[in-house]
Amino acid sequence: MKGLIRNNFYSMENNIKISFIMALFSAAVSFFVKHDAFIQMIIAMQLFLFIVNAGASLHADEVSKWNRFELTLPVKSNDIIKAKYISFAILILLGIVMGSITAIYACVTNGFSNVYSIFYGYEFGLTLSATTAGIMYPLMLKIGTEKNELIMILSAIAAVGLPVLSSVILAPLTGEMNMKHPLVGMVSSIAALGIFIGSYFVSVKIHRLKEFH
Amino acid sequence: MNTALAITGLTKKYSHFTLDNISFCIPSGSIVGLIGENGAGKSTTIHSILGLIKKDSGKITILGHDIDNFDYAVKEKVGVVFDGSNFSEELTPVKLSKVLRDIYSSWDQSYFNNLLNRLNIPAAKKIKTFSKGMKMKLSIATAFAHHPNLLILDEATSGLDPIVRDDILDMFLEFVQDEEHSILVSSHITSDLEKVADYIVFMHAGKIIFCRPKDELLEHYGIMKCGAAQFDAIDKDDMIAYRKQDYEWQILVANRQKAAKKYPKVMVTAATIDEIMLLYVKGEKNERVNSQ
Repeated sequence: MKGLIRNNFYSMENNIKISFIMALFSAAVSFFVKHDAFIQMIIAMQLFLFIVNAGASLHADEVSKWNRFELTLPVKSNDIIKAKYISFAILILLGIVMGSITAIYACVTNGFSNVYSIFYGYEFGLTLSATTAGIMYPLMLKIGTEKNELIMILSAIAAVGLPVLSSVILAPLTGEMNMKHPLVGMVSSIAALGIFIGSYFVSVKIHRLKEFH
Repeated sequence: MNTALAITGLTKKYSHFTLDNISFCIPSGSIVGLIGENGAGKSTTIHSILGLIKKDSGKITILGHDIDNFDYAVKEKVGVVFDGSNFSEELTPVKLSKVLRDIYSSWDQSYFNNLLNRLNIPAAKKIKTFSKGMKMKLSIATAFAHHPNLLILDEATSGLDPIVRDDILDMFLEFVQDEEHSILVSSHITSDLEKVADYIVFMHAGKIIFCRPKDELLEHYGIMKCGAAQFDAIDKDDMIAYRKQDYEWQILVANRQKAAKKYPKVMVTAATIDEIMLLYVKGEKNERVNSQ
């Protein structure tokens, strides 16, 4: 499985470099803007920046027919899917690391100290990333990656919809529809992780039934 | 004699095509060439063997293991090459070897490096800069580098120039020399198979037309060429298939020596695998002879 994960990252290498540059640039911009909402959005964006590479990588796998070839390798079908999800998780972790750089940078250089604001940035970024990956991968596995950009956009829209939906459902508890309420952030993040984990089992099933020509 | 691959009654139905009750085997130490026109069912057969598609019925055994209860470790012993490169274009051969050595416990890095040198593959260049021929050579090198017992190649020599093809065919012959290794190779380039194959499996419209030792085909099969009057005088039981081209009849016979003696006034020449395939596909077949 280590080889499969290595292959996933080699094929995304260039895109990951671009994501790093963009994330570093965003972190640098946070030096000039001290506004809470801006720091939150930068952290959330940094978490999301890395997972968008997954769509391009999955498309490349299908174009090169690596996804067919890897079935001939001495690995279990489950491990092929597991390797994908571990790669997605590592991408999200890379985003968390970059987000942390921004948070530390903002605190040290600007004296920014709104911990909840930073925490909300992580929650929103995690919700976006985990939901997008969790919806995108099984969809691409099922219908192919030709429309990978469209699938990515639809997954991202669904991911944005999750905190909106959570805020509507939790309105009786939070007093009003408030996406920035701590409860909404926490429930959205847990739901996103649930979607991500559930998506693994759906993908395993799709992969087992799929025929590769 | 041990069998590297055995297929019995393999059937796969699609709305537009049926792979119909395919049976053949690959004895250890032999090269079996799978031939047939586009859409004959060669790739469907190979994909079924590799478990890429789900067969409807039939039994496939690789190196003594039924693929329905396949221990994935058996895949260590099977090398696969498809038409074209199946690796990420962003990888270099060096990076690819790092990927595959984490996957194959039997990966032989020094042998892989030797193959890269032998086949003139640049180790540090990205695969996206390679020509089609170079990509095929890389695929073949990776298939060899984990020391498989069975190689399965789907149109592996297509896109290669004759000199490289010749090198690769020599590698195939070296590979099977110890009688422990076997190759199943599908190819449109029948001249390659004439050079290396021990057996030829000919597929047409999802069925196996014949599975014969190559030497038997090349030494005994023949083409009779004659006019209409001579054609009418030839016993239909001697014909496997025939077709008319302009004013000439071409007749495929299973024993050209016997045919030459029986019909001394008719020109009988040796048949190439291409000619045999063409007459079977495009000619009229004598069903009685073919069913024997």
